[in-house]
Amino acid sequence: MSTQAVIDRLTLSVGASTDPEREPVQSDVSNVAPIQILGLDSSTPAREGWGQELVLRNGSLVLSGSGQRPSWAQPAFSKRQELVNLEPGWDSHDAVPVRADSVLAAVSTLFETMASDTETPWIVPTVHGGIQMEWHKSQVDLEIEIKPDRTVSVFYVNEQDGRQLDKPLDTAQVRSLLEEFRK
Amino acid sequence: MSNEPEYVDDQSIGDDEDLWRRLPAYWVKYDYELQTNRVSSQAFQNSPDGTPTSVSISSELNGPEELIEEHPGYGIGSLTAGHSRSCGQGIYRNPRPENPAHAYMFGAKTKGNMRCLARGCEIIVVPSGSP
Repeated sequence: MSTQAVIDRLTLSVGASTDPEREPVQSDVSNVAPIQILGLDSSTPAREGWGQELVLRNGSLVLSGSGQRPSWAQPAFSKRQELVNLEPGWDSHDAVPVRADSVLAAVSTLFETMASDTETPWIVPTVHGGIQMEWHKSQVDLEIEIKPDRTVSVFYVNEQDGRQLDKPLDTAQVRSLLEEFRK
Repeated sequence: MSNEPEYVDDQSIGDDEDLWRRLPAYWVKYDYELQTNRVSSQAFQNSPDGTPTSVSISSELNGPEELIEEHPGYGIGSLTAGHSRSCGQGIYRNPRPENPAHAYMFGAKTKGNMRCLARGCEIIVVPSGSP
């Protein structure tokens, strides 16, 4: 089952920080190869369609696509915009800010696994600088965690039939699990 | 010689003791199906440097306000020491000048254990801004 949306281009623009007190995060962004993540040719001109932008501390992440924008794209991006600007210690202890490349990996994962009408996940930051996306319904829990090193793991529990998974991401398997969370 | 403390479960902390965990809004969401607040499993992860999860022994505080008066907007989740132990954790006292009731919830933070902890956690102060 593939999403109806097609990503034409994912571009990253990085600028100099205007805040001399803020620790530069350009290294987070400049080491990321977003085009390689999604297998896109950066020279392909964007077709007419939709776009989303995330403002990072030291640049921006722009996603553009054609086809019908998934209903979950806007709320999911809005949440990421909020999380990507968290300050150190946001949990009142020692949490580190969410890494830009965790956000990129999360975006890629969503477009690879979700249908256009899949429920928007609950998106939470992790203290290590990653992101976790969660879906819950009665007796069923699905969590996809993106770690700061961009590895992705899946945790699934279904108390109705006893199924449980705790393993690295298997895109086809997650697409199947997400069928339970379609509107 | 290792400088790492050896965490030992403190049995003087009874199973029915309530442990409080300070929570930012990002980790709490109202579940309309269950009609209650839900806590993310990520709320029970260890600190980035490997230090165990911080909690406070409620009976040693003068009320929930004491835990969040310096942290406006944060909420509090409560779970019993007994439930924590059933989720593979131990409780280790670690009093601090700013919080004499401070303790560590130590143990393997597997996905299953963290989910277990989250499911046994009741929100007693809802953080402001939680969805």
